[in-house]
Amino acid sequence: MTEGTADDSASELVKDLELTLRETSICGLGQFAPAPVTSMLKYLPDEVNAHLRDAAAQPVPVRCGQRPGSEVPRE
Amino acid sequence: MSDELIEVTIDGQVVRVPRHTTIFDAAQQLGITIPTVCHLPPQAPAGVCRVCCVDVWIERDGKLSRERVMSAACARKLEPDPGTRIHVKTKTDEVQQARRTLIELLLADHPSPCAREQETQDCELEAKARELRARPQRYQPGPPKRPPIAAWVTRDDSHPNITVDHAACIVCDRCVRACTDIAHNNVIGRAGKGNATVITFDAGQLMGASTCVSCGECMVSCPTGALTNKGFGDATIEGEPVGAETLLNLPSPDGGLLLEGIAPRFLTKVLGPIGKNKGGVVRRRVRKNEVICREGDFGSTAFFVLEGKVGVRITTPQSRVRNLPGVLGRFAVRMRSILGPEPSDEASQATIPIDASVDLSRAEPVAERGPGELFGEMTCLNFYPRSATVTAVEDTVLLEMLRPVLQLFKRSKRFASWVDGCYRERTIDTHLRGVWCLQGLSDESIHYLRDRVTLERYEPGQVICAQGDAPDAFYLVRLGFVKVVVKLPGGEVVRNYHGRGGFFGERGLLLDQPRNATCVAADHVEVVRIAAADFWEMLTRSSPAVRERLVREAQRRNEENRLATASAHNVHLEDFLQQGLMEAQSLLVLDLDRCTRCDLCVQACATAHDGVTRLIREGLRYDHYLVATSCRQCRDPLCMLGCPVGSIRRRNELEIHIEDWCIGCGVCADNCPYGNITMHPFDMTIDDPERPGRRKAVVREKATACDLCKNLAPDQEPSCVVACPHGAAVRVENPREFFAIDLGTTGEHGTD
Repeated sequence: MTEGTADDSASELVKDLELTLRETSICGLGQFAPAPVTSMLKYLPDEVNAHLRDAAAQPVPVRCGQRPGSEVPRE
Repeated sequence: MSDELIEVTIDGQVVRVPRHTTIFDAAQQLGITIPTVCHLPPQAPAGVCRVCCVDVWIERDGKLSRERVMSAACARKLEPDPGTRIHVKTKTDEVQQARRTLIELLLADHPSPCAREQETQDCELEAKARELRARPQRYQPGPPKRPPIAAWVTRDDSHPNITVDHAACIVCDRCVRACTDIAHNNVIGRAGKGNATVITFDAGQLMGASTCVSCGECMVSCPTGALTNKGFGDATIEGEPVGAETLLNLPSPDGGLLLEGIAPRFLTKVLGPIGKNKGGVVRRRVRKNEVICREGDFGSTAFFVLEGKVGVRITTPQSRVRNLPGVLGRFAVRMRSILGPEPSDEASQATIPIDASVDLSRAEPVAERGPGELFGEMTCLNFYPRSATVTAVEDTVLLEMLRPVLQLFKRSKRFASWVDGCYRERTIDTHLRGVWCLQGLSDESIHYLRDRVTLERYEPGQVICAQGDAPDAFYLVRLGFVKVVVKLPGGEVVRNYHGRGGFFGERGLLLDQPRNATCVAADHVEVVRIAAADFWEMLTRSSPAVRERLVREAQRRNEENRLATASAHNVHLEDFLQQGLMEAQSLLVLDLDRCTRCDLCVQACATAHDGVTRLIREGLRYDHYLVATSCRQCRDPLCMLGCPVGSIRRRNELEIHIEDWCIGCGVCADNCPYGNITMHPFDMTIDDPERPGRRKAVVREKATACDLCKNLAPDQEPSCVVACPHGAAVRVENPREFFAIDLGTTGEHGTD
């Protein structure tokens, strides 16, 4: 997803993992671990979709949170 | 556990269970099986795999609210707050999805198919994955495990009996609990964190270099191919060794192969050492008329006919074949082996009935077994003496196998169902023909009954029929002991007990009264249940003598009951049963009125057994006797049940032998309810697993138990009894008779 190469199965995978981690982890850390990703998908769906769309069109992988065209070289 | 019963709803069904029962156990009572990977009763739940997750809802004031997260059913106990009620949902879409993802994640790190799956198709993880339709290909395998252990190998072949494949390990914790809680060996633990967590032996040793005693508990607990069996060690019975190919090609009676379902590679591997002249299964050639096993003998092997034919005979009518203990008993065995089956006039005498025919011609075989048939498996599986004599009708080739091998074969579903079927059929047949109370039943009625009665098994403490119930069946005790308990206003009183060959339930049926006592299994009990309708049918079909006998017995019991109710509580009988004295076939008791505590019995025992005593002059008291801590040669030898290598066994006589191939796992010592088996350290040298070609000295524990001094002086009383200068030490062979005065019981038919 970050690199923009994810397809539809990836979002399903994220959903399954999120459910499993949140519901069945033994400790609270595990239960909370998927929260950042979940909240991003919940509150910023448009941005995520735009990123996926734009990144797919880019010749160079773009990292999440960067506008197309303003990428910095990866270290 | 508290006695309070609570009601819970699982998938819409209501069940009442004691408070603190786990959700898993409660669901099981409703017939709902929640899938698990890491849970393996009787191990305590660990709740690490989470595959048993379920949705829990709490009902308060009529309102349902879901708990924040799912619970692991194996570990979550039902402990509702006052005023609330728990609802469990085990099959919602979310639960199923979570389970599937968990299995997928476990499989991602598991070589698929793993070695075990390839060999025996019984990897539990892969089976679960198929059941839950998991798609492990959704995940990439992680990096190889690198735990913080200096000498790390993924595949550890150092142990003589067990291979460790860490790659297949999913750290479910089952082997750790098996080693620690079940076997109390405390060898297996964990090391590392996160993905690098692995099981370790002692402090990161190779398994072969650790203090592992090879009990095999971890191996049988492992759900995957992480811990697998290499072979049987040094178990040896006399005969010609056989290879795996022979076994694999054994035909089944209904066509096809007998061991279908056991993968060839697995069998080859397990039987590997047999090729080197060692093994739990051998080929034996028997000449015409040679006796293969004799009625009344103890034994620990089963036989499979390859070629030829054998005849099964029941030689002693109304047999007292039980165990032939004592000097006279052994003499009788010898005499019989010289003279052959003695013509007996005992039929008219009141003797102890056991599995033996009463109405068959003794010269004629009861049955013949040809190629592809199994015999001797009853003794092998239930530890009771042989119930028939088997002789070769013509020159015969047999396979003889030890119990662990028979159990291995039972992994084949076809073999298991066939063996169980044979066992049931033969058991019911011989029992119906043999019991005293049904003596004189025609062949036709036996056939009629055989197809209708059921063979039921009860665990210790289980109720077979309860006081006050309507009489619906007649029971014959086939194995074990049944306690008869009567509820009185002042509490419960043990009124009587029935052993092998006994019967109960006739009183209610014949006198048409509700049950006047509760019958409880005192140990592992097998009963033949004859339903009321079949009971009446049997009586109309058989001679009036049978009915008369039963009516007389019912009236006698009724009378006895009435008298007993009027008299004082029978505390002695309760103690007798609680101390397990009825199990004993050679019970060492010291008469405390005569004993001067000189300890000569213990010294004699130590002298007879290389300085290690097998007798402790300490124990529970019964009346004015001390029941010493020394093997009592139980009828239902619990010690033998768990032995992974079959080294604790009865050869052909009463005494329990611990063979040299004992691996010192201590399972027998733990299983003995009376503490009569001791683990003793012995010095020995073994091949050094860390430096090939070198030997090293080790201390290995082996189990020791009283062998009745049979190696020393087979025809004498044991040393402890001989040594006692005051005549205080006695070996009691029939406790019911010996303690008859204390028990207030009569030498009743059908119980001994």
